Amino acid sequence: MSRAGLVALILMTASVAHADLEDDLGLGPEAAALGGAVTAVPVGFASLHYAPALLAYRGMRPGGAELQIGYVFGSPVLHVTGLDGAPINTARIAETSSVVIGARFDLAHELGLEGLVGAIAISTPVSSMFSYTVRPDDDVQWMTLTDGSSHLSIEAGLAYRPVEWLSFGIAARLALAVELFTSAVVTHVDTYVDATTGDNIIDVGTRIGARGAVSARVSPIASVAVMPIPELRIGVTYRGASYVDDWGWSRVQGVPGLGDIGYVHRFAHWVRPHEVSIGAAVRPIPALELSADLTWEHWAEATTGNFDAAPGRFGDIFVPAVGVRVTVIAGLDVLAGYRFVRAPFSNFGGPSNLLINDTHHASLGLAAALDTLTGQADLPFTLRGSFRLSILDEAREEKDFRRFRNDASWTGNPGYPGYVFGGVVPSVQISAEARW
Amino acid sequence: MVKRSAGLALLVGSLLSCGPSSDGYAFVREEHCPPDCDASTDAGHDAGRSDAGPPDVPDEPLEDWDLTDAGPLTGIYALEVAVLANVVVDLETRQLYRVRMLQHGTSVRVRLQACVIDLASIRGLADLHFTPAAEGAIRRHVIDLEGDYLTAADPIGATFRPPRTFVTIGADLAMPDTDPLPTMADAALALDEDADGNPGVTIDATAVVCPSPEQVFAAFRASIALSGVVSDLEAFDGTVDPSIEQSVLGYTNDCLRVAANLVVTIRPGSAFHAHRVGAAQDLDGNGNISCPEVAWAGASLFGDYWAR
Repeated sequence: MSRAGLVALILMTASVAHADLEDDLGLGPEAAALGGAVTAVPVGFASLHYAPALLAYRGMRPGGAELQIGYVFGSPVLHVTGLDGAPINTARIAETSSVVIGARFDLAHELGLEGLVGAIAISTPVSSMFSYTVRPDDDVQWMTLTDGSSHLSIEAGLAYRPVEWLSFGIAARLALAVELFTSAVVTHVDTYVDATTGDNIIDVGTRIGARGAVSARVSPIASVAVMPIPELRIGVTYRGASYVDDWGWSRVQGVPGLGDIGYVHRFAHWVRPHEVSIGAAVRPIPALELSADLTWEHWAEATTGNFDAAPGRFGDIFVPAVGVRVTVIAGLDVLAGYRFVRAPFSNFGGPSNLLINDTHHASLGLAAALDTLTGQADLPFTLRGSFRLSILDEAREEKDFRRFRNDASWTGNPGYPGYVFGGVVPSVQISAEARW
Repeated sequence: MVKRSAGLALLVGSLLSCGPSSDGYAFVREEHCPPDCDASTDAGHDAGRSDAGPPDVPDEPLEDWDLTDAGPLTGIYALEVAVLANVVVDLETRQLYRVRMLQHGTSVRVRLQACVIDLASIRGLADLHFTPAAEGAIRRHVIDLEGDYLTAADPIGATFRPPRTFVTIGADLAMPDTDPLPTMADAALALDEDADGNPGVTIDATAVVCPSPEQVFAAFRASIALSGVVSDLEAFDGTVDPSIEQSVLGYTNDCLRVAANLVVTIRPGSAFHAHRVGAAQDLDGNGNISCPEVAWAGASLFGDYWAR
């Protein structure tokens, strides 16, 4: 099979990406295997997201370029069980199956500036460039694991290392915002009684028109890396909030007795909030590298998909992560990582039923540089694979009458009287990288 | 060393204590009456229509009327008025009254009290309901009439036709039956009858054009002119010539601007149904059937409409 045919096959089998790839599953198997503790660890093109300064890391191969093609598969196994023991149905929880393509290239020769490196990455749901679903906040639904924000993600950036021990990097993450305007002109209004059900029916005839537009929304990423000695790196990364608006209006014109009526809708599809990561990596012996990260995530400013700020229910979190890389033999690395993400949202017994758990991410991975491993310089390829198990701590939600205006809305809530929810999300990634 | 340990403890504590906090998420009420509760003994409930359980019945003794030689029509009736109206589309809205009657020959003394006035709602598009405080204010309006309202001393087969009666709510007018209602532009004569700090009486409004439940402040004038043949002393029907005027004095969200300008027009064909009430509806056993008891009995007397 030709290389083009292989790529086409992979693209055909890929479906919609669901959870946020970069942060929930990891962008590329190397970052995934290290638990995302890569603010101070160069991970090829994937450093675009975690630490763009490390696109130009100390000790990099000058004049080189890399192209990596990868595949991600995740299959959530989740449950929501009512307090009476009966399962509660939620919106379909689909598997994540996505393709990631990334490239990193030294621009020193092309632009005449030593230490300048560029990179680009695309992770894409293939069936559609983006797909946003918004349900009422009181629908029992997984907050990040369904199709609330399956989307194309494009990142591109530059890094510059003016001196051996210091580099800077910037990147941009692209998302797509939506505007939709619907107009309808009333042609007739009739009322009648349904012969079968006896219900009063209002039959409104309209002539409908619609106008839509998709626009880009860019969020910035910036980082600094300090590498005082080859065995020690320290990094700081800022990632701007990544979310898109979905807004517009629906208007019905010429309603008898009313004139024009309608409403403006505004939804928000949150991918990530503002984040700041600090990290350090040390190599105490040549065969061992240890890394640790701490990320502050500013979820307090987020909204639900229905643009509800949900006061008190979102909160900032700190995310610790650690990673270890062991070089077993020259050219073969074993990687492992752990990451703990506290739930940034709680329903607190109120009307909303958005499900998100405290989550432990444990991961393992392998990286094999074929040229080093085999001693054949004409095999400049690296194969990587990772397995990550995300364990969702079981959480309990109990509806509190004090958060409802009356008993009817309390007992009528889809989550009444309460439920427990949790599960696991196993995911695997594989990639092949070619170097020039 | 101690300082270093304290710093580490602070860092670990910060990591564990971060995340959402309910401190910024205020409760909307502290008491309620859950399903199967007994509101007469359970102090905690919001007294809203949606709560389960029988209502609180205030201590209202029966009017001290002289019943000597009273005719057979004498008694307390629950009166349902079904008003046919049009608000963009044709719809029906209903009202419940407590009517106490004292008959002597063709003369009838009538005390009329509005218990529940359902507003013209288009279910699913715009649902409007008086707040519990506003319903309480409406029930304080009592109309007394006396005259020859029966066409014969024997009420069976006679026509019962009292004069038109008006109820004006949320306005302090010199001539309540005819003076113009206050408006948003000139609310000087608006009366905060439900004592909630807003002009007029307050209506809970859930409209498809609004992102959340809102409130409308309004003044109303409703009238009914009843006419019916007494076919049975326990229950009889008739026709009604109703009128409804409303004036919106304010709202909590501009999304209600269009809805506030809706005009209610009355269609012909409105009717009333009167049903005598007694011990079965006397929840507190004091010999009087007061408005909360009439409202509670609405479903059993007049059907599922009042079970909503």
